[in-house]
Amino acid sequence: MASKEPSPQHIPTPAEFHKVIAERSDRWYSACLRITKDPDLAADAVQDALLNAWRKRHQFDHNAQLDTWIHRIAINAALQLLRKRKPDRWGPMPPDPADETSLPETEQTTRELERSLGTAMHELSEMEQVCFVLKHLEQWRLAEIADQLNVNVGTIKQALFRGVKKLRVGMADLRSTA
Amino acid sequence: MIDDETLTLYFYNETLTNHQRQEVEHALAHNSAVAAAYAALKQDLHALRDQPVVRAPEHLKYQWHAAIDQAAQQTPRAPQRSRWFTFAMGSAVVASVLAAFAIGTQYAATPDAERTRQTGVPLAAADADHSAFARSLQIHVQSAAYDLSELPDQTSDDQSTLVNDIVAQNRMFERAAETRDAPEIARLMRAIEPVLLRLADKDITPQEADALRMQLAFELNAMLTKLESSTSEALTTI
Repeated sequence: MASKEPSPQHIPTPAEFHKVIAERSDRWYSACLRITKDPDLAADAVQDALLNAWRKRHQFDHNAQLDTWIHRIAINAALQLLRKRKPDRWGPMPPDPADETSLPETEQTTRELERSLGTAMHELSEMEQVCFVLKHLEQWRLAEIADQLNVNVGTIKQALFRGVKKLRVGMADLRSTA
Repeated sequence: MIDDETLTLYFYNETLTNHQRQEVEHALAHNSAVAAAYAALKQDLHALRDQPVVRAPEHLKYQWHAAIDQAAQQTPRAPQRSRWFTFAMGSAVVASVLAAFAIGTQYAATPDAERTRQTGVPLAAADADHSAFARSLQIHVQSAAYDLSELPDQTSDDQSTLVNDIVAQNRMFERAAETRDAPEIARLMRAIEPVLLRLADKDITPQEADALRMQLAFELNAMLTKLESSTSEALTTI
């Protein structure tokens, strides 16, 4: 088998940065917004990512896509900003109220009827939301998420299961009211 | 019975052992309840992939462009290059500046209703997109000017690399113009490419460079005249 010739290193230029900002920054912002649920933090995360990427542009793997590289840096920046705001936020999962039957039946029914996919997303705890976004939308491995959030894989799984469960309840409500 | 959590891990191909995966696969093949549960899970998870993209506000995009400009300007400066090379590259940059102006003019000259009809995108979104495109093109020209004037004197090979880089970027904008249904702009970008290349040639004489610049100015002026219906709004587009 012929060995692959290494291509010369390409350092992204300002013009290339401007081009990906014009074309892809909505996706970076959107991803950061899903993680932080805060427009200001999402905006800061994108800006931090761009400046980090600019500073590290000599390390850019020329076989990769500049926009996906910045996307990944932006996600990390969003997680870092969340962590800065509340350092102990990635603690063990508290009991899930949805698993308990303490709510009166009528209240439980009302709550469930009020749910929709949009509101279900908002009803996810921060941990559930972050784990769902990183696993389902960003397609990170569970071990990567655990490493990034500095918790064990079991905690990530638990948050993911709860997040998926809540979202599916929301979807079922949407279908039943459609 | 295989539970939803195991099925979720199976869906994501995560953390299950080979034995556990085989158990799931056996259940899917032989247990209709498990198969139905997995089909429903898959359907829901696929539906959840279709999350809408939230557009970043325009002022943020300008802020991000500006942050990169500022970071680029803080890069340590190098000695000036030769006067002749600066002249040749300056001509190339002027060509790109005029092209950028033409883009803004053409865009602004297109009626709103026509733009909406052509793209099928709501006008506000299309405006934002074109504005970002025009802005990024303008910045491309600025940063090219900066790169060209700040690089040290180099061998002709290095000069070639630099020009090829500018041409490659022009091509990116050409493709972007095509995807934005702006064939005139794409044609203009294509038309100036050979001139850019020739202007940057080391063996070009000052007379030839002068003639090429005149030719370039003529082509661009013709384009600008064609798009003359622009208003003062055109100038604010870029």
